[in-house]
Amino acid sequence: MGKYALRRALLFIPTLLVVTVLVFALFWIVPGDPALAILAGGEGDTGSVTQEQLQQLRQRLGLDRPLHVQYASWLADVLRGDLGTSLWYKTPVWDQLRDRFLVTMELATMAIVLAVCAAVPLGVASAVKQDTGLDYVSRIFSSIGIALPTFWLGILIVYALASFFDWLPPLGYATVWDDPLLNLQQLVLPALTLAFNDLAFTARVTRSSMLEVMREDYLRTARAKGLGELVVVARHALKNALLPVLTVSGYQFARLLGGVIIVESIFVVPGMGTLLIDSIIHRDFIVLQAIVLLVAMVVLVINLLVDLSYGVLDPRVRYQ
Amino acid sequence: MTCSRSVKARGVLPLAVVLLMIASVVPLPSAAQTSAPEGQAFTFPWPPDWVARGKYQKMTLRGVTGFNPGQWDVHACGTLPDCLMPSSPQFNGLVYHNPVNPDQIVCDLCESWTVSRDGKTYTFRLRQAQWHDGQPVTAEDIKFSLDRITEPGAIRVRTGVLRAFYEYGAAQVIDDRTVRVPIKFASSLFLENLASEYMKMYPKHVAANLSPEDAQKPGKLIGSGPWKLKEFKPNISIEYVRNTSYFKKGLPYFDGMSFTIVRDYNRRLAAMQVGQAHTTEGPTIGTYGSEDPMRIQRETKGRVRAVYIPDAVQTYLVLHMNKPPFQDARVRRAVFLAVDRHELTKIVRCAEGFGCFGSIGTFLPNKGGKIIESPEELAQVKGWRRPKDPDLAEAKALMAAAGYPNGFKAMLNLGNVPLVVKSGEVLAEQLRKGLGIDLTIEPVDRATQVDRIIRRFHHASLDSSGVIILDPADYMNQHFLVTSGQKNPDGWQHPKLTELIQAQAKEADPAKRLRMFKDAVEILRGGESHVVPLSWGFSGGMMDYRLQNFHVPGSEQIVKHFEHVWWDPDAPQPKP
Repeated sequence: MGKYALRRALLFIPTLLVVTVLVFALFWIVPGDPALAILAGGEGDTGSVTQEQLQQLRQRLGLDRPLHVQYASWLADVLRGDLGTSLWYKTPVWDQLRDRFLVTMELATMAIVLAVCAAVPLGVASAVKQDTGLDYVSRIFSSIGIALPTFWLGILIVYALASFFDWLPPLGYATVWDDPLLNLQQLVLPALTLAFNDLAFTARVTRSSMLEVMREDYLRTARAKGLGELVVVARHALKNALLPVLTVSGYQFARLLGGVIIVESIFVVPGMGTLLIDSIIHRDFIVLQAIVLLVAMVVLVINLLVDLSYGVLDPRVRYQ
Repeated sequence: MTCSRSVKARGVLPLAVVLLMIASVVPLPSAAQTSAPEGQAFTFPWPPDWVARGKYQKMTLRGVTGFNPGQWDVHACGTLPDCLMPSSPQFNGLVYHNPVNPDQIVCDLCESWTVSRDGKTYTFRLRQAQWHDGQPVTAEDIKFSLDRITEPGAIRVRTGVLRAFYEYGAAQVIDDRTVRVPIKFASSLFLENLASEYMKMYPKHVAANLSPEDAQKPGKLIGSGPWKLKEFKPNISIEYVRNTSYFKKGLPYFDGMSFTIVRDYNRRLAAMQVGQAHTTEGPTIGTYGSEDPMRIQRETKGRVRAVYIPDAVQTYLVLHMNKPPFQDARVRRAVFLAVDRHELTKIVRCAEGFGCFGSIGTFLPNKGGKIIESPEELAQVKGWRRPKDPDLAEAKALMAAAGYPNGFKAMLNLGNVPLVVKSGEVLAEQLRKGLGIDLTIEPVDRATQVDRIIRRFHHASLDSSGVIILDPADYMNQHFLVTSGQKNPDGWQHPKLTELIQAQAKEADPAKRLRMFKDAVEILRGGESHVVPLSWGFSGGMMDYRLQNFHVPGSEQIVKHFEHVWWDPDAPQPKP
């Protein structure tokens, strides 16, 4: 398993390289560049920006160099452990990313934990009570959850809270270490918003997987030898049914990192999502590349962890 | 709604009033104005009456902003929300717009100025002020700042206009607190431009040691203003603390200011609605130029006050002349005539139950524009008059003569702000129905939009912009004098118009200046330029009713420092 993990880890390198090249290329295909964003502003009213001013700034920022030179220069910095300096903020990217990465990971973890903790019991109950009222309610709930776009749900929650309760999560951000209660107030609603869709999807997968497992011979045997239904379901069925759930959760976690972009904006959470949006608006490709690199790394690591966990859950799985 | 600048007068204005308003030749100082052998002197003793009425509160003014600043050097930057709004509270100008009567230009860092008899030399006497590091503000700093603003070759998106009046290096330091500023020609516009919020004064001992990149970093440049930048947390907040050594004794009225960066527009509205913030950024900006502030005012029963600057932002079409069909002046004029500005304004700027937040406007901005083209006169002008039938008939004939009797297909570049998109949709429908022009609209983000304008990639671009100074010359300069920028990407020029724009800047006689503007507008009414004016929109914002002493300026680009507002917990809540 160790060798397998090492081999997979080595495959990260070309994957990350391809990702960064793609993002870099896409970024330069899109009209507008950092010099234009700086002079014309990310948004709002601007003065009259002239070609001469643009050229002058491009030269100062090194944007007039050939693209491959710019990429190579960025890559060389990264290999030395320097993610570069933001073109918009003019501060080291890592200073920006460090805290925001933790915020996003906290939010995503909170969301996935909420989703899995609610989805697995719901899916199991739905499967065990197949075609009963509980099952129908669960399936309707899941369908709604999958159908609702996350951003829409977020806006709806903000609107409802402001209109009917005259309350919203406090603005700003406090870390869990500084003020756990405030941190919870600020993150619980975006986490629930993010979790809702995943919960619905994971509940459906759990139900399907459980239904499949519960038809297996070994469960009939377990019941035949007199084990209680709770033991049959919890110890024998659930463990085997969790494999696809685990796969889905790993995928969902990676997807969550995309979902946080909008949810962070709606709920004013200063994570990587808002930084990503800003880096696109301001054409700050140095920041964008760093975020993409980090997110890609997280996704790769999660995928690896999910793959490795198969072996723990199912001893029949062998790594080659 | 607070609209301090609505023009109530209808009909022909008395000549005296017209001349007084259009002139702006001599600012109208509230302070002593005396004649001296060396010229006119204006003195501004501190404190003015209103300062004592203010109430200091041991609290932080809380605001929300939708913008994440990245530029902090207002001399170089070109944007209002990303740069000027967060920077302005830290700095002073030499002169500025009186915060309690924004039509006036008064001393900020100076305590008096004298204008020579020939109008070509200004002598400023400074107040005893300190920079945030405790060093005194000296005449040398003022000279340095004027030279920095006009530095040849330096990027000066908004401040470069001062180069037209001031020759780099021309200022003379008379003594520590007196600086003499000769200008190239006598012009009322010098002081108007100097009072622009972008013309901030910097300490020489700090700014001279900063590279252009370093100067753009938060906190690197210090000022003498009412607020010191405490901390900028990108994408989270901008925090200021009170400058306890502020030279304007008694100001500001809060311990600090904290603006939370909330990117989502609806979340900002919600923050105001539930009382999480006392004010929006600015406090006004075109982003809130709709009925939303008014709606929040109603829903909060007047706790939140809607604030609007009427006709502060113009939406217009830029026709790209680098390729057919808009190379042909007849086609440009056809579009100019065919647009139904009344219908467009009604659909885009009006909301049922709330009224309108914009107008068909005039060629030139707000008050100045309305003097040059009175609403009555404008109602008879082709392109603005109603019914549209004769204009449409002429437009169709022009299209046929240009070889497009059945219209053509074209691409329209525009921003992705909902209001702009809506304008684009209405415009496309009007041109399709009226002239058979099939416009494909492509909403994109700001950087892409400006890039496409400069590259002239599309056939036309829909853009919007405000004015910096309240004089019509500002608009003329931006759109018709400065070429190769995004406001005149094809460098459209009309020899007579250029001559008039240049001449009016030097004209001291208000009546002659008014005549020049009228002549300029007459040329523009030909509809052959690259600009097709569509509508003027409001700049809006929200404030808690307990925030007192905010007076709505005539432009969203001025009075951005929050030095004069105070919190009155006992203020009576107005009825919405």
